[in-house]
Amino acid sequence: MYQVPDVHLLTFLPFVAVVLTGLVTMVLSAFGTEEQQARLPRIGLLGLAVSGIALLLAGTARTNSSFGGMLNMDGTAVWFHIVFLITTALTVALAADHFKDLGAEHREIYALLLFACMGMMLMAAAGNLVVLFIGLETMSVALYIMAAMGGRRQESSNEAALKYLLLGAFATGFLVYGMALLYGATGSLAVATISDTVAAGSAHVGYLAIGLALLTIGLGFKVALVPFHMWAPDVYEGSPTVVTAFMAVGPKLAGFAAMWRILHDAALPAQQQWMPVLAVLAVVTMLVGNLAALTQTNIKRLLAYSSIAHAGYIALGVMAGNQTGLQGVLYYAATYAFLSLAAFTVVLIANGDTNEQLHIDELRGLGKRAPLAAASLTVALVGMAGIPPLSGFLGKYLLFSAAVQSGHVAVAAIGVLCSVISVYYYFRLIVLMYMQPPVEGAQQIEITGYTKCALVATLVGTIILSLPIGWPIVLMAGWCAV
Amino acid sequence: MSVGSLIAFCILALVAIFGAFRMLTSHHPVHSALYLVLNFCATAGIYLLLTAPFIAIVQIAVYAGAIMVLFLFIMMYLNLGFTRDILDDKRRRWVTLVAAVLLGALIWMGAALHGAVTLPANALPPPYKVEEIGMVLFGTYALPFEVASILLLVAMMGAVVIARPQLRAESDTKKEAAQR
Repeated sequence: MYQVPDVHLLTFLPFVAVVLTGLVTMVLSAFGTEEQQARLPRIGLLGLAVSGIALLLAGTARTNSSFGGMLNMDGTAVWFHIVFLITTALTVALAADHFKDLGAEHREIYALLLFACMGMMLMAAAGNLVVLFIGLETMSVALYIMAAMGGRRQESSNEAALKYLLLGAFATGFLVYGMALLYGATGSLAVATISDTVAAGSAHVGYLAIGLALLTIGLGFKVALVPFHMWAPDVYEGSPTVVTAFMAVGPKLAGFAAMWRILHDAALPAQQQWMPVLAVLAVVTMLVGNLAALTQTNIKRLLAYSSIAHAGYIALGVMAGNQTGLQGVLYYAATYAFLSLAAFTVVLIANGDTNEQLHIDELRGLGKRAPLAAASLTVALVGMAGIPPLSGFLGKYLLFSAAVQSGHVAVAAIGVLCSVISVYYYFRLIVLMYMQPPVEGAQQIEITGYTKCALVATLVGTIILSLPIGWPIVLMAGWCAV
Repeated sequence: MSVGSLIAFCILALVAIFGAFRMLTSHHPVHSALYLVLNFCATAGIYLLLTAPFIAIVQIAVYAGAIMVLFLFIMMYLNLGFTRDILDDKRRRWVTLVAAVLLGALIWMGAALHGAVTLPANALPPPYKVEEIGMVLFGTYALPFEVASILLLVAMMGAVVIARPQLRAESDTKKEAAQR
């Protein structure tokens, strides 16, 4: 009766490393001495590095599956894990320098970031819908809390956190109902079994369709697909910028990983049912995200709408559901992580320690005031616009060609058109930085410490992904996609 | 379904609906909370009829017990007074009606699909005994069960972190006042 699940410790080590580091930082943030607490970011980074090494070891394990199929550490999962670890590490670095600007000492952010990272990793490696759900909730709850760490701007931050919590809980309701219906349709919560049942045609068609629809809605909230995006600009604007940087990358990509696990791994035989829905969502998301970004004057809102637009592009890859689609999703996830984090790092730098809302005019003359930051933002924006030499181009190329391969030529054309629109608002910022004089009284900004490391890391990451030396990585994405 | 259990179901369902309705229409929050307890207990009875004693006990212990005590405690602690009646507001009444119709449609949809589903071969047959649930929880579902503790830990941290800044701000203003 009692079955001990076959735990393959090697595949489980990356999670253990992150959780243990999270626990250590949590205890130190509560009871540690000043000296120990000053070391928290370094402990966090160390833990993430150890987890990365464990991930490489996990890659050598003989089997993907662990805990009786609860975890599925295939190439897709490992790729997403690397992206999540890098994202979390960069956010930890940013928090080390910029979180004290807020005027409140929220040292718990390191533990929360690590736990959120574990949640995201579980989502990407979920072999069972229960694991996916627990991972998603751990990530979400940690994010609700981090959004509320507003310090001096407590009021707007509280508003953001409350909005995020209420809408997030609502979305979770959809998600759980969808999982229940999927269980009703197929009689299992295990991704592999669901896939078999759907392929054999023995799944109940009605339950399956409604269940998949509800799951798409629930995850659509998390990744901010239009029309489930309403929360994103407000929450991104109100949350502390460090948290926004994390929010725009980690949870979004984790949501797509989960979407891939459900729609592709579990329900690929039913692709004819969900493909048109996702195609419509992707088109609307790309259009609304890009058009709304045109009129924004607050940089955080602008980046929020831009991140919505990028969710639309990635949704194209999920929709296609083919080899190129997965390759595109994986490559674009890594690309987007570096580009988006670079952009938010520059927002943090330009904001200094005031942490007020940043009007885009305040970027004027940044090229003179902080050349490195301005250069990084330029690379990030050009990359996000998808201009050829940079990695954003190759990512979009993969995603659009996946859409074409799946027979959605019109959808891909709209995607290309949207990228062209996006050039306008991205380049407006570059023009402001280099061709306009600085605001009067603006001083030189010196970039030091962790922030400088983070900025350089995002730049290096983008360049590696862009240059021909990065092409092996594209091939690796293809290998992971097998 | 036997006649006896049908009668039991009807009574429990009516009590549950009555509790839910009075929860909405009560003017005092404490009354609302108590009617919600009534609703939870009736729902637990329905779970018993479905041969799911474990869920019934959990429903009583966790929802009717722990969570409602917490609700009442906070209401009394904050001394919440009379609330504006949701149903008095005309616009809200329409919104509520639309929501009720939509929910009804969803339930009808679920009911219409009922019967077409075959339980999986490896699913536990009813009655769902507590020890069987325990075996599954610590066997097959050991990983999510353990990770749920991290989730609870994060939530607990959140309560502490979000409640704390106010205390700090208060002590700051006290310090400032002392300096003056």
